[in-house]
Amino acid sequence: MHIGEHKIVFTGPVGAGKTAAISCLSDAPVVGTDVAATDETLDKKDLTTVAMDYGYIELEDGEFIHLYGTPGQDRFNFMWDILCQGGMGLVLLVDATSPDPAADCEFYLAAFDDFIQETGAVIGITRADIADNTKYEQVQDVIIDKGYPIPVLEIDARNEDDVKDLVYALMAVL
Amino acid sequence: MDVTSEIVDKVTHQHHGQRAPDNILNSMLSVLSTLKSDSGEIVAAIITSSDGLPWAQELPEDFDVKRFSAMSSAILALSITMAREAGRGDTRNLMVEADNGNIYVLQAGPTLLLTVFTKATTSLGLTLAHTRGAAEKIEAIKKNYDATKI
Repeated sequence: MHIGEHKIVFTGPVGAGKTAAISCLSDAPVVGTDVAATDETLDKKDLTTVAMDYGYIELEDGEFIHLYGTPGQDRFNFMWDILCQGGMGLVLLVDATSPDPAADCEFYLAAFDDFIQETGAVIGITRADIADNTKYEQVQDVIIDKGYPIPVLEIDARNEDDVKDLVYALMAVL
Repeated sequence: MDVTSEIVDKVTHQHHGQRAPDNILNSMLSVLSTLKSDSGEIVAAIITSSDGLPWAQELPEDFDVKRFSAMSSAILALSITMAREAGRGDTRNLMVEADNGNIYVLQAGPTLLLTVFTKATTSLGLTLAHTRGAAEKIEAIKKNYDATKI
C-alpha cells in the first residue's frame, strides 16, 4: 500500500451484512460480484458475493481507506488470503440471529488468526435487536478466551454511523 | 471427500433441489469427455454453478474440484464486473495464459460455468471454439432440464 492508503477487510458468515456495511460506508458505488445463490444461502437471500466487494472512503486529510468484503462461504477461502494482503485490520460481522453466533465467530477468528495477530480486529454483531441477549454474551466469551483485545459492538450494517463506529474501534486497537 | 461433507452436500442439494438427476449429469459428463477427445489439448474440465458449486467434472485425481469450482465462479464474476464497469459489455469468456497451459472460463447459460485446463501447446482459437461449442451444449441440457421442472 502507498503512504496515505489503507485497507480494511470485512468478513463473516453469509448474510451477516458485509456488502451492506461496505455499501453504506463507501464514497463510490460498490464494485460487487454478486451471483444467484444455489446453496444454503437461499435460506437468507437470493444473491451471494463470490469474489469480493470493493468500496473506499476518502478522508478529509486526503487519506484513502479501501474497503474489501470477502465472500462468506468457506469454499471461497482462497479469496480470504488474497484480500487480506496488505490489509491493516479486519472487521468481522456476525449475525446474532444465526443458530450459533459464538461458533461462527470462533470459526472466522481461527480462519483469519494470522492476519489478526499481525494487525487487529473488531467484531460487529448484526441483528442483535431481534436476537436473544445471551447470544451476544456468548460471542463476548469467545473474545475473552482469545486473550487479546477485540472490541465487540452491536451494529446495524445498513447504518453508516454504526459502521463508522466499527471502523473507529478498529483504528483504536491497531 | 470425507463422509461429513458428503452428507452436507447431499442435504444441501436435496434441500434446495439444485442438484440435477443422474441422467442430466451423465449428459453433461458426456459433453465433457467428447470435448476432451475432440480437442486433444484439454486435460481437465469442470461444470460449475454460477456460485461455485461443482456439477460435473473430467478431472485428474490431483485436481480439487471444489476449490477450482469456487475459483472459477470468483474469477469470472470479477471479470464480468470489470468488463461491465469499463463499458466493455457482457463477458463472453475469460482466458488465463500461463507457462504450463491455459485456463478458459466460459458462461454455459445463465446459471452454469464451464472451466477447461489445457496443455501448454494449445492452439488457442481451435480449443476455444471447441470449448464454446461444449458450453452451448451444456446450456441446452440445462435449459431442457429446467423446462421439465416447471
